[in-house]
Amino acid sequence: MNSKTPASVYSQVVKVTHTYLGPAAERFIDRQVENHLHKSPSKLTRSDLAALIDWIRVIVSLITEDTEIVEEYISELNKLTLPKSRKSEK
Amino acid sequence: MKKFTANSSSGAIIICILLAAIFISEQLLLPVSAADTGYFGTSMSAYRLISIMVNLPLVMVWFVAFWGYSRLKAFVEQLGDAPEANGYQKLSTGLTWLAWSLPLLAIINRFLAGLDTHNLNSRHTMTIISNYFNLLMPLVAFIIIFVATKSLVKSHKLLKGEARSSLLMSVFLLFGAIYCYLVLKTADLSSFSSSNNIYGIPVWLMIITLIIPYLYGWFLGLLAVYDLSLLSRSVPGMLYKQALWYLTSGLSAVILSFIAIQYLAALWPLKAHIVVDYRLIIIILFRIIGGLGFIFLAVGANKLKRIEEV
Repeated sequence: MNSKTPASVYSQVVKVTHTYLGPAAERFIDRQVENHLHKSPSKLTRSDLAALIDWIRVIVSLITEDTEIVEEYISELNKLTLPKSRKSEK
Repeated sequence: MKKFTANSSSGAIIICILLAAIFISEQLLLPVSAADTGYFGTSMSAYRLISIMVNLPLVMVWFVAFWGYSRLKAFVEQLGDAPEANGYQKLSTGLTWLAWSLPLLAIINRFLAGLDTHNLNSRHTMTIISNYFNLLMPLVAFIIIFVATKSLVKSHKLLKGEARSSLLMSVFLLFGAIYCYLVLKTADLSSFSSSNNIYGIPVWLMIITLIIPYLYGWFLGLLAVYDLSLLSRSVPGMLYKQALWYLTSGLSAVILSFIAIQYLAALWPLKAHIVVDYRLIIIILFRIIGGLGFIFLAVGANKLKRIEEV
């Protein structure tokens, strides 16, 4: 899976995830979208984000016991759910 | 997938049990010379028991090593066709060679030592064969591991053009020079064809077929450790980096312990009988460090596998 549109929701999620999972980020997001949202990663929309983030919180908690990292990651993902104008205010 | 990886780990452990059984059988059944038992002043059966007890920590390290490489193989299976899969695949192959070299070399050496316990010429031949076996398996492993780390660095598109540390080169040169000095010190250098040295072969053959390959293998092993540690520091991803740190620390301990043991074995010629002194303790200590390395490696591989499977 390789969605190259810079502004796509998918690439933004992968970019955030890259900070935490490095080279495994894209594969990780692909699996979450396909397995839990049952759709193609390229078809990920902003409206899917809330459900995806919930899943990611559960799954990342299985990878690490460091809740600080999990919360930081989720908080970064939550920023993607905000409209552009709200993000710039922040 | 889960079923397969569980099987691959238990498969490796079963093979290790078989190899351990062969080794213990050798200790119990192969002939022991009267001179060997005389060293301890014990009966033959007591000597056999002592040799099993002395080798017990080493056999435990074999199990850890087999478990370690099987965990890395399980991670590689999980990676599928990811860009870094090829590098990790080679790394697991190199570590498989190292893990297998532990029981195989012990079995071969014990077998050769037991072939002829009386004839000195025959013992001399066995020592030469044993020295080449001790060189070859780790050498092949170090070459594969070096290629693997190059491949990993390339697949992560990191460290491009980064010059290797001159400190590493200097340490290696010093380390190699001391090794050459200590080995050649024991040799009769009045003639290049003299076999009066710890390897029992002519000096020219010793330099070409043992000293140079040893130095080459150690150099590649150290470069692999260096490359992987640079990679683990520069790879993005907090959680990925944590897992890779375990893998790198484990690999470093494994490679350094192998190098240390080969280094010491080259300086302290093998005796047919067990010599319980500070040298044996140092060698067991380095084996345990290697065993801990395999544990770290397995922990790192499990963490990386977890990231890829959830």
